[in-house]
Amino acid sequence: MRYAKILYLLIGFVFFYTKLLAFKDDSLMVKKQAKHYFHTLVYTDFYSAGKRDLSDINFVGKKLKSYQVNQFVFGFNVPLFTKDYYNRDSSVISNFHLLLTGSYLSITPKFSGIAKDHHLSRTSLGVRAIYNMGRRSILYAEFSPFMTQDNGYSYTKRSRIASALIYNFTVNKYFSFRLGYARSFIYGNRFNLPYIGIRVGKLDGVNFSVQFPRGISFNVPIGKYVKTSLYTKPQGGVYSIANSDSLYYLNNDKSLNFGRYEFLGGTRIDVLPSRFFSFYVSGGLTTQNSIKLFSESYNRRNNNQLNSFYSEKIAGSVFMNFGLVFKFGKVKSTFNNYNMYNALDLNSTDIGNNVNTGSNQQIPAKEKKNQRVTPSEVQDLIETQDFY
Amino acid sequence: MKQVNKYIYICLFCIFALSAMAQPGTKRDKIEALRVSFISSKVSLTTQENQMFWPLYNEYNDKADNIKKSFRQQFVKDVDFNTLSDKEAEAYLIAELLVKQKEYELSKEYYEKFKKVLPIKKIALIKRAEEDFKKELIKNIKGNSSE
Repeated sequence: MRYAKILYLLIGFVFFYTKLLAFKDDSLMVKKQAKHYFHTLVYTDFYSAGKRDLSDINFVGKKLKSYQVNQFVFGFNVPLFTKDYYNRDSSVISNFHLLLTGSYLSITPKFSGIAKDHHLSRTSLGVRAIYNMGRRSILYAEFSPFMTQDNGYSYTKRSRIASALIYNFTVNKYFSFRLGYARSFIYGNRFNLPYIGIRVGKLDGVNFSVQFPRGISFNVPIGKYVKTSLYTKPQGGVYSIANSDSLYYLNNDKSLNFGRYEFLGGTRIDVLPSRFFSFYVSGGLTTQNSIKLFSESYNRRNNNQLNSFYSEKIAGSVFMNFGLVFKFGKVKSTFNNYNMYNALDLNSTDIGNNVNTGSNQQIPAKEKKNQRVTPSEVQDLIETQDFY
Repeated sequence: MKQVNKYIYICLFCIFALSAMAQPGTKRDKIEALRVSFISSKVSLTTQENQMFWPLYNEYNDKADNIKKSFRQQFVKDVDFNTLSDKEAEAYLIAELLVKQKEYELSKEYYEKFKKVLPIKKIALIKRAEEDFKKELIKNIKGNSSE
């Protein structure tokens, strides 16, 4: 019996590789078209900012003494379903994209007054829907439930939801605007925010983009392989932290919420050595740094912004950030399709963490006109008669 | 800090490994980007025409490329025809004819689609731009081979 299975496998292998399973009627089996417009992305991001002293004007500040933060993000972004729709005369292509998103964020706030570091995590798994209406409009919806935990303290597990609904209107290739809503934690608290954005300049060229609450950036590509940007953006979140150091003593909470945010201002360089891989390095200064602690029992019935029992504005610091982006799969062409460029750009940020996923690096780079080409590169384009 | 260092080493290793095997874009992407930029510079389209034409044009090129790729995959590029049997040679020639037929049908189908989004004159201009692009490529190849 065991050998029979191996024999079936061997026969199957031979038939498959000798192409005896090919259709008889069609001597040319056309390969399957790429299904999606978005690559599958896997990305990591590392962030670290310097140590700063906390004020000793209250009990918590005195106890914590100083603050320094390291952050690591690992995430993915997978297109699950793509459907092209044509209008009646099949001249306009609109399309719907459903993507699965997920990320694991780990932050380690280091307080010199506490002996043991807390490793806080945020794990999210969500979906993203993008509907490109074909002409100038795009609808973008994101639903991203996540769970926060102080690793090692299972009783601190808490779940929350971040979401966004954005309407993008591409006026022309030089200008687009966005309006919408975002439920976000990136300002270190729970906020329901309006989403307002404008972009001036081509997405595959130099552009200036103001996207609230995501950030402001001035982007300059240098050739095909390097993209630079000057930017400022908020970064932060609300995480569960065990009250193992008795930071809150009023209601005997076992688990607290730790909120932090900072504004990063700096420069970023993206390097795209391959179409399947890119990396970036970024550095600059953090400003408007703030940390907060929230009591769970005090905020139990509070559905709006959380009220903190400890809040402190912290001095700025130098930060360092770098990341890797891996792209997989074959995708449909989007050359000069500025609506799709905007869709790629909308998909370029993990809204929950405000981390760039590198999706907009899928926007095709422009080629120099007088580039050298080899015969093998153009064999499909040129017939012998073209040389006459 | 030790853990951060570990991550940094892993990342650096990945960067070097991937950079070593990096292929900056496929041949097809390079030529497509050149062609699109050439056509854009030769034919001026309105915003609305741009928004409707390029998705169709990309779709057309994806399909045309797929037909050629399928053919190339079925028949190994550098096959020695002297060693082929008559039957195999005939299969090759028939497949080549089928490629041409499929390309023709595709061009016809998309010509009808382009007519709905662009004035006929602009389609002709794009066709001419495509031909001019080929000429540019030929010039480029000739220039390379003469060096």
